[in-house]
Amino acid sequence: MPDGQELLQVFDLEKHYPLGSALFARPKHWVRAVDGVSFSIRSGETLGLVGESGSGKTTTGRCILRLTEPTSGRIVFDGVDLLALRPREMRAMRRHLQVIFQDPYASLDPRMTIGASVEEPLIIHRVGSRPERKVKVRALLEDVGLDPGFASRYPHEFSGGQRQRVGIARALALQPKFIVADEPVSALDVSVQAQIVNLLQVLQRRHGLTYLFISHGMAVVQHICTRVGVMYLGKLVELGETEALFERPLHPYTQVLRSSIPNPDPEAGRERIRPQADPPATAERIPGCPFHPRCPYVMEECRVQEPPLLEIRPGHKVACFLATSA
Amino acid sequence: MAEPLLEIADLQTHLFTDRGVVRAVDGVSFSIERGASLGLVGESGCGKSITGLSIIRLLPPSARMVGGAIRFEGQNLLELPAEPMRRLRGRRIAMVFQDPMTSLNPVFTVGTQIAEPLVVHENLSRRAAWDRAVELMRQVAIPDPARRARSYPHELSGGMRQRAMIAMAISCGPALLIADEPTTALDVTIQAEILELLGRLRRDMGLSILLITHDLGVVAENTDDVAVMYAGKIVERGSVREIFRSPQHPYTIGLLRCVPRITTAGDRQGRLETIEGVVPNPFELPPGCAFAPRCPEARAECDLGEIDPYLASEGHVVRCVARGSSVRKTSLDKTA
Repeated sequence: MPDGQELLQVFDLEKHYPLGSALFARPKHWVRAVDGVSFSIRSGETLGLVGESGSGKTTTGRCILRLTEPTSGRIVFDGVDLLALRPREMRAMRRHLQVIFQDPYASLDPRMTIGASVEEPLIIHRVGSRPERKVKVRALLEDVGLDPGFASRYPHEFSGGQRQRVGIARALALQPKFIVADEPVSALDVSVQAQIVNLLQVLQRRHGLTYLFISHGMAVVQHICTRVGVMYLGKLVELGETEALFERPLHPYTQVLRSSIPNPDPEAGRERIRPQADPPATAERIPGCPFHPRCPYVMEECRVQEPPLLEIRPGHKVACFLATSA
Repeated sequence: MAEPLLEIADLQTHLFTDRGVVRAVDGVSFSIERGASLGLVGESGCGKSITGLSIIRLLPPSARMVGGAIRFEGQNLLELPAEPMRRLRGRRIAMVFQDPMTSLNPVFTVGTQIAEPLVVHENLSRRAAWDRAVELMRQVAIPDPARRARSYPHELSGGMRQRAMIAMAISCGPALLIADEPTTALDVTIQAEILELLGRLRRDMGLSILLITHDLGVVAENTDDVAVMYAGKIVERGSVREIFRSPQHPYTIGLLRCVPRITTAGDRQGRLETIEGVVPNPFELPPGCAFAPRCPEARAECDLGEIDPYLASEGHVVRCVARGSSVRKTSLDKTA
């Protein structure tokens, strides 16, 4: 697929979890972890999803891979409706959609050598003969900047950054087109973060990869992403080109987020846009705009009606009455 | 000049493990004036948390302070008997940790837990301590404190729990607050609120703050001075303004370069600067500068022995041969 065409489309994705588990009783409350999210990702680009804990960004990523079954919605990948696939067909499809997790220590089996971990997807998908796979594993380790001789070692022998490289090699094993990177550098020290971010960019160019990059770290997202979506309490509240979104954030929540990031420059000075309150501690559904209890610019209609996500400049969408009325 | 509130001199805290001895804190010295704040920054395993725990003497069982001095309000805490140390803790020196959920007791209400030290340390009645707890919660900007005091920790959001921890920490009016990654587990909007709160308490109460963090951005905006730690040693120390404007140690320079920043249009770098290599194995630290194996400016002398601190400018100390530090040649000392 040539760059720039839509590789993945997500329509009105929802994932609800029951709250409280009374045996045999219907749950009274549902948490709308993902609540009607739509976006698309073009081939070759990196779309960032940012938001704070509980915003639904991780659940969105998991739903796309069907690691979590969505409640409703439609996900079209390379022309195929993923939610219509039978489990077997989905497993075959996963060759093309892979994932990198935050904590490679938790996602690597401590009793398997890293060579075996990287080889495992090749065995599952019956790729190559044994000697061919061994060659492939060494090439993959080299590809992510590890010594191929490390194949016989175990995860505990490596640092966090090296383990994340192993996680990336494993994700690349089946030559996927699309990778969901869920907080891939959040657990790493800053000096190592930069190494992994650079590696992800090099691999993207080398293999023509498309990324969905999920992170709460705004600076990393600005650095690596072509476009960024901002999520708040299960909703996509703003979506646009990275430059535009960081230069002129339209949604008050994006403005709050952007102005909350500490700047490693004591003389820069920054004007903070302050939220009115802390995020809600309960899962109760908020009527109107989900951000209205914290919004510094709240208007009357925000409390009763939910603003739709509208394109107000070419390629820049926002769900806010203030931004769309201006 | 009055003597500083806290003065640490050549502190040595070692971990005694099955695999050998780790010099987690290896000759750390710094001081904090009354009402001042110091940011102690470094990556995981550099010894910054062990330094904080050494001050209040709440070290894990494997750790022991084997040398140096910690002078606080005229006393050397290393020599203080257990009982006066216990009275000091909470009362004169308080600490806040990264994860408030593990520091709060889930079976007591937040108000009860904030009132507890007031009963123990200040001999207040239960009733008076409770009222004071509610007042403290108001001071740390917990909305509706009278009702919130009756809540259990799980009923509060992460930010509210951290505020409750801070209320508890300041309840006996300490002179020094040690905050170990107080905002690392929190979302960025809440982080900003908590840091503002700490700044306000510092001004209002004349509190000194030791802020331990891995985040240079947090230090840049919230402390007067900064000390950068690497593999158990402070490699550079000075005012925030000075260190961020003209960092001297190659490690500090590298750290500042590799942090991605929010930039303005057209400024986006294609590639982030990195510090190549990894942190050395704590069991096999090199004899000289521990950063030398990763350092772009390393030279033969770096490996010869202990690197002495060098005064780069007023109040700005760096340990680096390439910047003027001399080397104490340990190998030669032994033969002499």
